[in-house]
Amino acid sequence: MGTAYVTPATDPAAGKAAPVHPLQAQDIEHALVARREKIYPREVHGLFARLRITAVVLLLGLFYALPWVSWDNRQAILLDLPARKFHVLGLTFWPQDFLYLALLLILAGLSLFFFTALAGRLWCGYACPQTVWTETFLWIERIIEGDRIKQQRLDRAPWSARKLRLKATKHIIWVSYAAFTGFTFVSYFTPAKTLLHELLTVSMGPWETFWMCFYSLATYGNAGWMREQVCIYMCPYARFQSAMFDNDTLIVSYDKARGEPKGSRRPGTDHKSRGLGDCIDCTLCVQVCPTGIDIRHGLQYQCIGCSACIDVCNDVMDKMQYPKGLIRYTTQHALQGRKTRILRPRILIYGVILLGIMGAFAWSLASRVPVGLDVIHDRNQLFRETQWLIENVYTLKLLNMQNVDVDYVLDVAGIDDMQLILDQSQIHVPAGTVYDLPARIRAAEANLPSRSTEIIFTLHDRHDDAIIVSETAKFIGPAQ
Amino acid sequence: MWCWDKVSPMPVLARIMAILWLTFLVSIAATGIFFSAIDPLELKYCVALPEVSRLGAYTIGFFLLWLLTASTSLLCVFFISPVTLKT
Repeated sequence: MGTAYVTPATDPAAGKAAPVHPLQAQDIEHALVARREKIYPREVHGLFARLRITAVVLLLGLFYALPWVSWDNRQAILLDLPARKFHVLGLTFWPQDFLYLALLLILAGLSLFFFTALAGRLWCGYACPQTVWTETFLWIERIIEGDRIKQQRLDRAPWSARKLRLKATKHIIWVSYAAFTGFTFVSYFTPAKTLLHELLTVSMGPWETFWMCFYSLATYGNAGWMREQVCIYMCPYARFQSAMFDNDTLIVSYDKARGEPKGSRRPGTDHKSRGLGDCIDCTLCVQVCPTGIDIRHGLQYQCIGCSACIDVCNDVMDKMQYPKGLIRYTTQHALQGRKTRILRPRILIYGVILLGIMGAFAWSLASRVPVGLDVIHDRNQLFRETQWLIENVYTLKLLNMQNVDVDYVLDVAGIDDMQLILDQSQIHVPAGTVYDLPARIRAAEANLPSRSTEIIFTLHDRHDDAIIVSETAKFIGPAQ
Repeated sequence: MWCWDKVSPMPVLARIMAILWLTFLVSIAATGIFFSAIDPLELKYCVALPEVSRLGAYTIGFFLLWLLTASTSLLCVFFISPVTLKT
């Protein structure tokens, strides 16, 4: 451990790098070289803290409550992996609908780009599971061990009955909460009610048990122990976010022009006459930071944009009777005294692409036809010759994606005077199932244009012509 | 790890976590794509596999992919380290 380590995002040799504050490279070096010291974030109150708590309650509330919500006598959101069907409210998705999942992921990625360009790491500060669960774990820790000072004192103190009791209580609650989280995670894949019954009767399947333990352990480890290290060392987004930032991006910044030179003073002193800026150097902004950085050193890649420093600094400014906003959401341009442009090409381009894909997603979902057809030619025999005609045998796989039983009508086209022979008069496919239908096609040899002719099977709902699907197949005849 | 200490002071645990976490994310995506195209129950017609449920097959598939991506990343990191470090 000795030479400087510079992250790719700030490596001057990497070309397009974000402007590096003189202190930043050094800080990163320190952060990555130094042995990790536990960070004890101080509790904070204020507008952004309220926003974050609202987000935490809302997101975790949704996560824990959704598996218990029913829709059409079924769990509203159930990713039924064993049956290869995803139920989302009234819709059922099949592996054939992979396109939607891909579109959804692209949408999520683009939204991240859009919001990062607009206002920095909104995702990290308010919505990332790492933030949300860490916030909850910190809250539990604070209830049991007390505030920041008490926690530090407890950790420094030698082991005693009291310390053991407090630490054991904390970890037992953490583990139980993590286990509940793991249970909830698995209940998105196995119906929550079934899973609860299995849990209570100790009859849970091996894979469910495994994933519940895996997710619980990950929650406990990441939110209880790893915390900000996940963001600093493991998160890919933290490393490439600088590519989405520009001088008009809203970021949490310290107003250096106003704050410097910083220094302590008594309330009521005329600091300007003493040549001091507005920063009283109380270091509260450092104490509340969950990643332990000093925002006064400028934009740093460890900053997750949680705005805790804004809240705490505004309180101090109020107490000192200075105007608020020494640390605030602002842009690089504004800090340089220039005009900030919110609507700029980057935002417009991201916005247009985002809206375009959203539109495509909505359109394809609205015009989605809930029927699937696969045609498999008989593998054993390419064709059979009857007295007058050539016959090919197929197996048709009919997929009824609807939640009701459907009667279908099958047609075939492509060769003059061809005959479709089915062993059954009705094609009835139960709700949400795949049905294997044997079918024979006969055609006169004289009508075959070549050895292999393309034919088209068309399947439609007997009562709804809009539910229709076509599939091409080959009709094989003797060599000509 | 022995060979990295000379090229980068980033803590070893942090490097291992970085490899494991990033490859974990990629493996989730790969598992999703692979198993949405292929039903593990149909695989038994092609290859001799022990009898296992779909959920089991997904889990095993995921961990095999994770093993593959993580070992590739580990080898990459190992091989891009300079061979001689004398300056």
